[in-house]
Amino acid sequence: MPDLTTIKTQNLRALVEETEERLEELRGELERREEAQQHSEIDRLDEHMKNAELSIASIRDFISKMLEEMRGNASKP
Amino acid sequence: MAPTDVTQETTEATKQKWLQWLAVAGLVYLLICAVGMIGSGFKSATGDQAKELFAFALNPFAGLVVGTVATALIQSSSTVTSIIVGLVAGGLPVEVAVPMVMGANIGTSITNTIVSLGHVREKSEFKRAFSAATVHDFFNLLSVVIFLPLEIAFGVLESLGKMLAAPFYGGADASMKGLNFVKAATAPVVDTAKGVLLPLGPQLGGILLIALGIVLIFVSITFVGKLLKRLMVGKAKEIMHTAIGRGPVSGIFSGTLVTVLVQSSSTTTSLMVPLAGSGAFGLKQIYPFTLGANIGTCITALLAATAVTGNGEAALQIAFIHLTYNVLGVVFIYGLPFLRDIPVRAAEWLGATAAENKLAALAYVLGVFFVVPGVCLGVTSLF
Repeated sequence: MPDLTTIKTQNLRALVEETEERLEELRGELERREEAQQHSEIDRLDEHMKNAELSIASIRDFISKMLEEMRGNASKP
Repeated sequence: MAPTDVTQETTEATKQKWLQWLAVAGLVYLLICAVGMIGSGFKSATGDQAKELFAFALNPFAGLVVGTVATALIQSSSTVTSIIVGLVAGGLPVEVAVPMVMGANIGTSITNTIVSLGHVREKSEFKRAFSAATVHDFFNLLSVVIFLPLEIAFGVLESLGKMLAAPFYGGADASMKGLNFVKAATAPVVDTAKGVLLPLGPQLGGILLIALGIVLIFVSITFVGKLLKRLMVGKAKEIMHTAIGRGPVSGIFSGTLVTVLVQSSSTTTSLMVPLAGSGAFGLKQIYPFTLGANIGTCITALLAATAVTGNGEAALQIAFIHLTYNVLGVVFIYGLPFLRDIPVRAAEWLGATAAENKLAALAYVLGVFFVVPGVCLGVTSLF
């Protein structure tokens, strides 16, 4: 990073503008990627619908994970 | 595959789809009949004593707890609100039913919370999923905190519901001509059930009619939900694809639409859980969608209210109260910036806590939906 105090005001202004443009581009790209990921998850909606159903197995998993965690906490000195 | 095989397969699929749609229509018909049965059964069993019978629920807090626990146990707010509509048609006072409807909103949010427990294997995924589920809970709790006192003090929702129902029953000319058609269409089934059960005595027959109605509502809503999920998944995809990147209002609108299509807010809000768990959707994108689910679910009670016998205006009033309550909840809580983020922050905090300590998640589910309401019900019954 150059010493900012040595940069001319005009150049500094141009640098700010350029950075803002770049930032905007980066934000746009990030947004595009996030939206693409969202679209691809929605394409798997059938699968998600199945995962969104109540199941005894998942409750059992949760309880065993919780008990494991509790045992782990209890054995800690 | 030979072209004839393809044609045959397509014809089979189309036939299957038509059969499924026919089943949906039959089940909706059954739902409307069942609500009519509950109304008739309740009227017969209680005579003019409905108000006395539900005197315990005149305490609005007791009504709220009844609605919450009943919905949490049945896991369907549509079922509970449809039963409430039937009971109101049979003589249950509207002011007793309003807190019950609010409670149904809280109770229904247990489903997606339990679904989120399935993401327990991976800590950060569980954190996201649990937050996405509980943002709905916190919104519904906040909504009750705001609107229940207003309702007790001023009867705002009751007045709005009455105002909205009045045009359908206002005068002789404005009476529910269109809706009477539904009533006439369901009369043969309801009258047959009445004819079989009521000769057993007004009270026993009435109670059996209510029980039959509850079973039929439960069966029809469960199977309609399953069928619509299969039939509407393509449409739901389209709606959700369209909503991406278009802001919160579009999210609310698409949440409403998807819920209307699948006839279940639990389906919509539970669907948000794996989407959030995957990390593709943030809490701020999930939140508006779940609010839309609250609005979309009101369609079932409105549909149920079209064909009741007895006090049809009161039944329509409570269905409109359900709708108004949910719309106003979204408008006020989401519309006011200082209220909007409260459910999000609370859900983020709870998600982070539960990810570190799973016992907190279990304590939350049992506490909010069963223990606290149970204790409150016990305490209020003492006074």
